[in-house]
Amino acid sequence: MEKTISDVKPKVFGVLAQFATPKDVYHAAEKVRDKGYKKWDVHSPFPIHGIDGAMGLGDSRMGWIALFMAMAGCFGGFGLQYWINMFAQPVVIGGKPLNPYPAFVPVSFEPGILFTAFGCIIGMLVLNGLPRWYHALFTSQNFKKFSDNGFFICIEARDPRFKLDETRKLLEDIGGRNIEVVED
Amino acid sequence: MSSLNLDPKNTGKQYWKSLDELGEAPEFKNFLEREFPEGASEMGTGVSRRKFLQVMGAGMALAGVSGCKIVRRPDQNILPYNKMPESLIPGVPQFYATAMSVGGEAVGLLVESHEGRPTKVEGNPKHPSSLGATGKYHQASVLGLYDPERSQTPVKGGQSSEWSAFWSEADVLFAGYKQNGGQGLRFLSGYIGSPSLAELKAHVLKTYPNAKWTTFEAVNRDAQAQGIAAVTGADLDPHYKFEAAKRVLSIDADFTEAESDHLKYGKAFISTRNPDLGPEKMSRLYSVESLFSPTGGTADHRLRVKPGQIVSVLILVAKELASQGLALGEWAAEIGALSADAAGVKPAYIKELAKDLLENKGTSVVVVGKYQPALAHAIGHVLNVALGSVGVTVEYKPSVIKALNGGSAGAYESIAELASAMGAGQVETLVILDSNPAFATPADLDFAGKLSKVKHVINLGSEPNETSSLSEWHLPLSHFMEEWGDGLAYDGTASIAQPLIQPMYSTQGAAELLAGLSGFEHRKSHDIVKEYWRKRIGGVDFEHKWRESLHDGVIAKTAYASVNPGAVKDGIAKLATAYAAKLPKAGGLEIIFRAHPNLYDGRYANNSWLQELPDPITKLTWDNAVFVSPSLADKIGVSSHLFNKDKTGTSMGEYRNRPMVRVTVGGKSLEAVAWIVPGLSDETILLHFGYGRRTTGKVGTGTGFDAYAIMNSASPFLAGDVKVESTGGMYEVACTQDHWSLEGRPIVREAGLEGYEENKEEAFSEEKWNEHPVDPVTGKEKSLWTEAPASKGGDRGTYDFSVGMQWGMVIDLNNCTGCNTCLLACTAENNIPVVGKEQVLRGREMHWIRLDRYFTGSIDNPELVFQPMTCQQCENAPCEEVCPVAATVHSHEGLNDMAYNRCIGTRYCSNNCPYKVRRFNFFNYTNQWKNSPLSMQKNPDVTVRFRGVMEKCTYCVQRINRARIQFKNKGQETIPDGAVTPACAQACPTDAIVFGNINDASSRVAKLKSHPRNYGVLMDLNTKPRTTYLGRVRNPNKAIEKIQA
Amino acid sequence: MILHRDDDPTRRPTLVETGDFHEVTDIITIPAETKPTSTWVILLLMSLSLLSVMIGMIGYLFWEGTGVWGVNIPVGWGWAIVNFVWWIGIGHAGTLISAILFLFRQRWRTAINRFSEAMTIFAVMCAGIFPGIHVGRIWVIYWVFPIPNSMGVWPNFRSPLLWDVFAVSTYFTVSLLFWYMGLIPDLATFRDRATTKVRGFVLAIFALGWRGSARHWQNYERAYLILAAISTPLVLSVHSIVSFDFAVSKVPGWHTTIFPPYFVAGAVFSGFALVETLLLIARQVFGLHKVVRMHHLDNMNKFMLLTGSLVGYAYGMELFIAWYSGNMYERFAFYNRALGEFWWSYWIMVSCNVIAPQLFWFKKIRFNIPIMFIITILINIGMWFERFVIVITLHADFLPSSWGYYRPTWVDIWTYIGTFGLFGTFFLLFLKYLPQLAIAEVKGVMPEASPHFGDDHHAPAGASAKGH
Repeated sequence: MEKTISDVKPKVFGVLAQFATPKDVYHAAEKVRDKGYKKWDVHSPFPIHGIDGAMGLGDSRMGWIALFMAMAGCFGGFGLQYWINMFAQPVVIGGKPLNPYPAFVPVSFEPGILFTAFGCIIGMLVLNGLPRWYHALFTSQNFKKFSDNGFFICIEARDPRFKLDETRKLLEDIGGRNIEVVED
Repeated sequence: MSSLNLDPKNTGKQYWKSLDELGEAPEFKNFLEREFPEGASEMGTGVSRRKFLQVMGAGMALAGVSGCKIVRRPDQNILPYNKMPESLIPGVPQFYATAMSVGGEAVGLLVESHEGRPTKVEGNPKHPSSLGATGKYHQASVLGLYDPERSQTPVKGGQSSEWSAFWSEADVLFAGYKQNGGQGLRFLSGYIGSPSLAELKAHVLKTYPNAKWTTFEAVNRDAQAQGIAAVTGADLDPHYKFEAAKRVLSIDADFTEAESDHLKYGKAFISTRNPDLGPEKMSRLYSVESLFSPTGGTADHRLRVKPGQIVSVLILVAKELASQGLALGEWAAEIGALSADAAGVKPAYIKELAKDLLENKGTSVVVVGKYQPALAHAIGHVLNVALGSVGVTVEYKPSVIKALNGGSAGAYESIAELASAMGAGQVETLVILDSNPAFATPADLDFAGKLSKVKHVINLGSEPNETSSLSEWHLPLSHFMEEWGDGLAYDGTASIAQPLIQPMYSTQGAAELLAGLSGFEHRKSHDIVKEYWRKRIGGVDFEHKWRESLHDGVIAKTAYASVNPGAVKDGIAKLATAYAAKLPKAGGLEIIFRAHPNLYDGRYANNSWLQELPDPITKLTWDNAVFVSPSLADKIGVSSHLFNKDKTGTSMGEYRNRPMVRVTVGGKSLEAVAWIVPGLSDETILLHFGYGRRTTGKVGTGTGFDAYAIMNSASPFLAGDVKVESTGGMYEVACTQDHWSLEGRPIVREAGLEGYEENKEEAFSEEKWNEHPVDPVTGKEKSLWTEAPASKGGDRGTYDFSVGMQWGMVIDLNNCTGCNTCLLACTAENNIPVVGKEQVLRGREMHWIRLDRYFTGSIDNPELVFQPMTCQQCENAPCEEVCPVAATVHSHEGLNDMAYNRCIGTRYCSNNCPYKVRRFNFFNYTNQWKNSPLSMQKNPDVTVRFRGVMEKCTYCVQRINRARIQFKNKGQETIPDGAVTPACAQACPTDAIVFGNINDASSRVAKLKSHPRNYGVLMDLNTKPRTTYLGRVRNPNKAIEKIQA
Repeated sequence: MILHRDDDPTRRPTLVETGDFHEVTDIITIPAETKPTSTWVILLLMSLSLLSVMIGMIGYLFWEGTGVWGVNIPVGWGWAIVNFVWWIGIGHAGTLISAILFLFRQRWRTAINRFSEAMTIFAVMCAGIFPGIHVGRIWVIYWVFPIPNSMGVWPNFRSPLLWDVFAVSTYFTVSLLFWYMGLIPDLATFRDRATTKVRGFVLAIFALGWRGSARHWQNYERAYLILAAISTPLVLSVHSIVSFDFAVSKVPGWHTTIFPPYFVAGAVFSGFALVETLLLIARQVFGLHKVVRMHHLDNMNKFMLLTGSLVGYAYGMELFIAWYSGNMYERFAFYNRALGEFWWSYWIMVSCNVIAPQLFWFKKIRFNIPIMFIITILINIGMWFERFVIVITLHADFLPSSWGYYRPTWVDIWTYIGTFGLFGTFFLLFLKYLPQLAIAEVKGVMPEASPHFGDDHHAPAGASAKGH
């Protein structure tokens, strides 16, 4: 993957540190949070319970997206049926009225579910800025462990408080190992 | 097969000439080349009953040749008329009057013709034997015209030949006979019903004085003629006037189905069955029979006796009448002397029966069936005379058959004589006109075997058959729609049979052949007929009369006048001795032979419509069977394979295979499949002849079992000395309704006249018959909705069924005799395909009408009810709401419309149809018409349905729309009552089906809808069917009911 | 994962024996990275041949017409619809296990949820085939979708069949999304272990650039939670709607309000049975004893005992109501089911679905692998016959004159057998090339995964509430 950026003049992305266990990274995160860093992140093979609190993250916005999509699906579904039976194709079927609303429930409900599902996965990807082919962290060989048994904290150069040496020092102090500077 | 080996030169050209001189255009030249490829003619009646899939396969191959099968473009070029025929508006059918003779009796018809193609047969209201109605054979005749397996060229020894070749040989041969006066020359024909042909016959016999002419019909009325002659001394036919009869005693007479003039009789009889006539006027029918006939089904009292006892019952009735003081005139002594054994018949029954007849002296009538011996007919006549019925309920006219065919010997005597002559080598040349003696004669004559002793056999016939295959020359016979002819109705009324189409193949009529053989002055059927009638009715204005008769379909004032029968003493005694000689000894097993209700004597075996038409009583298709009573089935140990568990019907497919039995009569034996018929007398076997054809088209060959093989010419219709045992073999039988019982459901509703009189409103009401008639709380029909009719056309699309024309139908169960004619009429009108035995076995028959048959009462001696069941056009149609693509929706006129083009074939509608009247195209059944003359029969006003599409009765919507256009052109928005008649209603001989606009209070249908007998099937489902039924009312004799109870 | 992680790891036996995350990764990924075993190859070849049989049968049907099946009038639906309902029912357990057990914080679900989700998707694929091919004119099946068209005709939204179209297609799509979403982190694991360029490249595409960021995990978990939450009503609605195909009609024996709950119970019942069948096989073949443990199977057996009894109750209630309704058609329909010409199918159904699972009352049997294997097979047979019994009720409805009989043809039979080829093929490919268990989730529920592992005190109150 480095090849894809070989022509670009290297510049620092951030500092990456590995931690042994969820417990370590959890407490380390608390310290980084207290130092007031904002542009940093924890990488783990699985979600660590309470880490969002430890990092001082806000609440996720997924719920609103889902709610909106659910409404759109339900009303869309019912609207389609109502329009078809009242306006587009008003014929008598089985001697029933044109608007037998109970019969329209299933096809209002199902689109609601369908839209919500798409809302969830697409919303999740958008909020996370995924999919993406390249990320600076992928340049680190050690980082590959994040999906196995490695727990990482990466403080990015974008952070106003970022000073290469201080930050590296901080990470050493809170127990980080295999500390490396990731270049972009 | 030689008949399929077509030479476009002599078939195609004439074929296309018939369609307005399309002539020599090259397109047609190569079209003809491709007209009937071998494969196509197989597909012609592609319903090959076995290996349906294989034939479908052949169809695929064919389709492969002629382009993609699913996108169905026409394979040939079509051209417009180059010369517009006068008075022909494309798309508007024309009707021509003609006549069809079966067994020597003509029935007048109106044939519908589309752009020169006869497509549908209707009855001619002006004709006394039709009165607008038709029978099965008439409806099916149009298919016979287009049968791709018809004989199409002369065939010599199996090789297709030319007429010229035949004539060059025949001229030499018959020149010889001119010399010796026709020594060794014999002619064989069925009953001749055509005066002009009769004249030709006379001319032939004049030309060849030593030649002899034999007349044979397997189904005949010899016994009747003999019996009547014996007591009147004249050749008279009885003509019953049921409209005047209040008490009818039917001695094995199926006069609504099988007797002469049955169309007229049916109408007349049914006209007296309306319960609203009241006990005074409504007729009562006593039926004495051993088999279950449809007429027996309509009877108020059906006396089930063994075949050998039927005459005895008649004798007992006669004696009882005498003892009750009826003067039997000069025959009193003779009848008194007759002995009768009717073991098992309660004397009290006879007493009450006689009493009832006597009380209605003058308005009662005794009807004797044609299969009964002469003795029965004689006694019947005597009773009619004694009861003073003559002139009131029965009158006598000269016999048409005798008039045209002469001869005193019975059919079976004559054929026996011919056979022995052939055996003795006295026959050098045998000319066979349109009959099939090699098949349709009792085996004891060995007619087929003896044919080989005849040097020249010349056979004129419409299809290759058992006889033609043994003939030197097989000559193709024209269909009656292809040649000029004439015929006499049962009452002597003459009609001219005009052709509707030029001969499709190089065929000739019987008259044309005879004319040629005897050097007659005219050679063309037109001239023969016209010149004959010029002589008969001649006069200066003959041309006018001629045109008039052609137009009306009857020749005015030709009906015979009725005559007063004479009285001849001791005729009966003679007959009695003759009868006693043939009577099987009492107590033993007896077998009766009858013509098959659909195939007649076998001549219609290659007609796929008639093959797939269910037998009226047993609902068997594609086969006949050895019919046994339930008790006999138990006795011969086959019932386990026939009955379902609770004996409410034959087993529904638990056993697809049915047991074979071996029937042995007088040394000859036949193996055939057994089938149970409730109501057949015990110790009796019923076997229909006509099935078991060995040589005919693909449709008929190998279907059923040949009863002729065990018939005996001495006593053809009844035999004793019968053995029957199970062979252990199995055979598949295709039955369309194997359940007998109504399961106590209020589907068919019956009442006794008395009960009906007491409380007309009650008798057939939902409250009386239904568990859940209405919502107990609201007292209204159960519904979640304000239903469409109620919401007065308010919001867009909800229809107001209280305005405009709203179509509805009423079927009077009192009138329906279960004759199946409506079913055939529907098939012809609506392009309904035949599917073949394999498919019927799978339960995939396509008929839009079912003649539901239910047995009620005891399993041994039940009563019978019929119920025509077709799409009920429900206002709240269950089929509509479940169709995912809205392929079936409602019209503003209350029709449950089916949009074939929209249907994707989920079959959900059929599942949800409580009446199960929808039919599905499981295969591309209509492929059978591809590249076949059969396609010419199709009604251009009705869509031909493709594979995977659901279909059903439409109330003949094409006829409704035709009428709509017709009256719109006249500026009328509404169609007057009676202007639209569905095919079924039009064909019905007994007017059981009434159709019309239920919003028009003056219409017949509206009146019937408000009749107390009117009820709907499954009304408790709130489907609101547009087709309703009038409940059945019987008129039983209370005294006799007591005796039976 | 916050939600189904238990605050007291000692309360239930821990899920996996090992405490090493890396070992877990190895257990699950190594089968996918090593050469396929010969057993696997043979099984795949068998499945492929069955699959080709199915394709052949469908081709034949397409060419000849619906008549190659045994359907007729009155029995307009036959094996096709039976198979459809059966497969759909099986699918339901998958969603149920992954969604409902997720919501109820059943940690043991992680042993089987990936399996069952995969099974759902493949089962729904098998099911989806039948409504498509059972129609008379297959080439216009798309008319059931509300697509604006030149004919100006729209579908009929009153028809349960149309509801089916929407329910089933929604169900398939949602299951697929749910499954894929669960796969993303595991695919990342595969990606990062990839040894060859091609493998790395392909996996990189499907892993969507996942890098385990806590900020991502937050949205991911919320989205997963919502998907689980909507899948639960979805799964109930789908089989209810399938049951409407029958319940909304007028046919005696179909027109029954008990159908929706009874169908759902039956679906879960058969679904669990098939999951267990497959699980037992996979456990044997891939040696997953360390993660799929006896008490997981025990739980499933208890579940089958419950749903089986529910189904039995429904059978009894049907009979009672038929009698109690006093409606002669209903009464006959059920009399005919039990004692009519198809009595055998009814009694196969009862003995397999009601009697067999009652054996699970005995602990010995709940822990006896061969016996539970046989019982799960029996249950699947029984549930097929349940649908057969229902569909075949058509053969004798209102008018005795139209009563008929139904007989499948060889095409019916081989089409059904063929669908196992379809299912097997996809399932084997899944087992070989995708993580058979949810790696991230398995790790997530290990005690070592807790940031307070080994502490004497627990997470500050509200921590788990915060993560709701």
